[in-house]
Amino acid sequence: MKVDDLNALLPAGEWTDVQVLNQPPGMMANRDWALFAKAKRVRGGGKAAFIKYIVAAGSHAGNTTLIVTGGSRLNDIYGRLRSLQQLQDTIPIVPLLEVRRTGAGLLIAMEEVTPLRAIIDRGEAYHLSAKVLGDLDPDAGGAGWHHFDVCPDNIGLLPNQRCVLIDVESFYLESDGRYSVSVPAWKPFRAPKELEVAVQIQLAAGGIDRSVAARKLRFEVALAAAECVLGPIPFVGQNLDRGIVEAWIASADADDPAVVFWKQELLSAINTDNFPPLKQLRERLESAVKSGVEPTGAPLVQVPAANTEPVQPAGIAISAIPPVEAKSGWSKEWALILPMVHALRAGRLGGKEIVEYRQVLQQVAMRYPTQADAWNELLLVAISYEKNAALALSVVNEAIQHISDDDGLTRMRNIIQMWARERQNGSD
Amino acid sequence: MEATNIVGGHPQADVQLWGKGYRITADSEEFQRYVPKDPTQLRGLERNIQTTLWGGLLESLYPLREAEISAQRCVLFDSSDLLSVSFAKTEDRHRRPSLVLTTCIVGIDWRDPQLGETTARAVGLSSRLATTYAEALRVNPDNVGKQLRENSFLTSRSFDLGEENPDRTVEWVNAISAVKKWNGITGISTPRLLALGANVVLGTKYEAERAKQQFQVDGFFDTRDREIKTLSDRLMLWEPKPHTPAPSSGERPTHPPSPAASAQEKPAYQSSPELYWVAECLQNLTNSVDRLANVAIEILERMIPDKRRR
Repeated sequence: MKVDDLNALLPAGEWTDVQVLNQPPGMMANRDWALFAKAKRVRGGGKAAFIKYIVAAGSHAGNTTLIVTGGSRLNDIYGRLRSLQQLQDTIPIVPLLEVRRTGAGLLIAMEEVTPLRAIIDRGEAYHLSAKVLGDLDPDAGGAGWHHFDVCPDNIGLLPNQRCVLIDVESFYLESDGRYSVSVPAWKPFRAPKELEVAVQIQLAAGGIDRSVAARKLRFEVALAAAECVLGPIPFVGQNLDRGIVEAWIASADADDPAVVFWKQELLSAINTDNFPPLKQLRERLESAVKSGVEPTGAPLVQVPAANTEPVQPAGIAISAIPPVEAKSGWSKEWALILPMVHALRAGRLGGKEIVEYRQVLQQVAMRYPTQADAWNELLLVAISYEKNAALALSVVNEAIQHISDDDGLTRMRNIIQMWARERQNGSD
Repeated sequence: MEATNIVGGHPQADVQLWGKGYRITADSEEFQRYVPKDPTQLRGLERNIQTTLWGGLLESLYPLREAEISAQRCVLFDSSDLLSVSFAKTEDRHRRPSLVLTTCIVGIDWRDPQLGETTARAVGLSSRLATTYAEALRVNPDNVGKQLRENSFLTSRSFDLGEENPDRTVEWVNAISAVKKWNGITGISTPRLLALGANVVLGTKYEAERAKQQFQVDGFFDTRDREIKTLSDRLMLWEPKPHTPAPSSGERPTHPPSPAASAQEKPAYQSSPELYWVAECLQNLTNSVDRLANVAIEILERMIPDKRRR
């Protein structure tokens, strides 16, 4: 399968800007089992898409290749994905734009996402912790689904800021109270030993039942949500245990209420087989972060008495660098910016100060992405003071992603696009 | 009246694609329809433009820059459909300048208070597709020609307008409110696309009067007053009636829309007043530059014959 083959396969009137990706992460790419590409889907307003073309195993393929990309598995995935396509409004799967079985393989086109892993690595995922819990809650919306490999690599953020699960071949639908997992590829080191054993035992018996699947899914989603606050979990090649969690949390801000919350919950979770519904976890996290103090009361995860180990008392603490929601909010922060707003208009800012002011605004806009005032001020600086068409276009595009119903921003984007084109033509 | 094609609450639009460089519906590589391949799929206004004499129209577009071509607007009307036409610049297999045309036809109901928004979305779609397909057809790739010949370029020529961003370069809500008041309007268009059959100019009085020397122009849409000003007696105000009978087949509505309906369509500008001012300044600047560029091009065309023109 080559790039030309992919171009020939995709209708040119439906897909444009097809760019084959060299080496995305994952089992399929490492083994040359699939071809990956980015493209723009012409239909649906021109959305950016990610395309995965799984190449069917040839007649001389080895056993492993046959298990993963053999014709019968591709048929199985195709059938599952077509069923999931019908349910994609009620379950947290990345929107599937096209699923097509061809003689040579299986084409899966999905909406492009920003991987949560990348956001965590940039240290910008703090605010997504509760969102991960809410959007990926297996007990909300449509039930009866399971994703066998939930981790930040397989969670994506859509342009509308909704968290969804990617690696769609790992999605399964419940049948007779069980999930028949055809390729049990997951990351057992991210689970406590007891959970891994429970899963492996059931897999050996031909599939995992509803209760173990729910426990596994809740734990993996919660762990990904914790990584949003605590940063990537260190890989030490063994199952998650108390020592690993403590070492992981040691470098985090011990006064931060979200850190305190996750420390309590994770230390409890690794010692229990009764993980609580994610809705309760989310509500408690939001409450702790909003109040700006550590959560009170016992952790939601109820640990059997025999396994209970004392949680370090953290005392009542207010973070030195409080998270966004813990501060008194947008209005207070905006009030701090107002002197700069006036200084800008009074012409008291030089070129360097304007650049610094813009950088401050960019941070504020990212922290309060639904506040139109922040974006508007940023646009004003980019257009009228820095006179930078490319920057203005990037700002307005970002703003529209967060405030999609603002006609003014849309109109502004059209004007800036014309301006940017003129600049481009002028420079050509 | 033909039923408006609505799926899931949003109108559907059927698209056409025209270009040159492939032999799809004609036994030459000259400008021809690529999609739909089957002429029996065409309806109403789509059929009308099949007989357009393209030579003069395309020649007038070749000297323009890409941005100028993309800024051209043309919407044709009849009793049950509207058709938006867009062009974009591309290159043939020898890297010579070439053009693609896309149209987008939508079944409409003239009593629909959302007609302005539907028009804006239809124009948005045809413009976006023209630009997109100009890239897809650039240098006439072989695989694209094969797909066009095998009719697999598009899985369906029907597009959901609900997913499209409305075109905001023209105040379509106001323009359509104005169109609804007059009997005799065949379409509304920027001057360069009047050859497609529109008789109301999207432009200034000066541009309309100049265009009238070449085309049948009966009025222009005054963007300042948001009204259509007539330049002939062929446009007549619809007679207002107290009640609202449904327009019969082949007829336009016999009454103007209620002011309330127009008010509902008015878009809300949600950004700050300061940015609104900046936006207006940019828009005015762009309009002025466009007008200056047009005048300059016309002067140059008269002084220096363009050898590239075909």
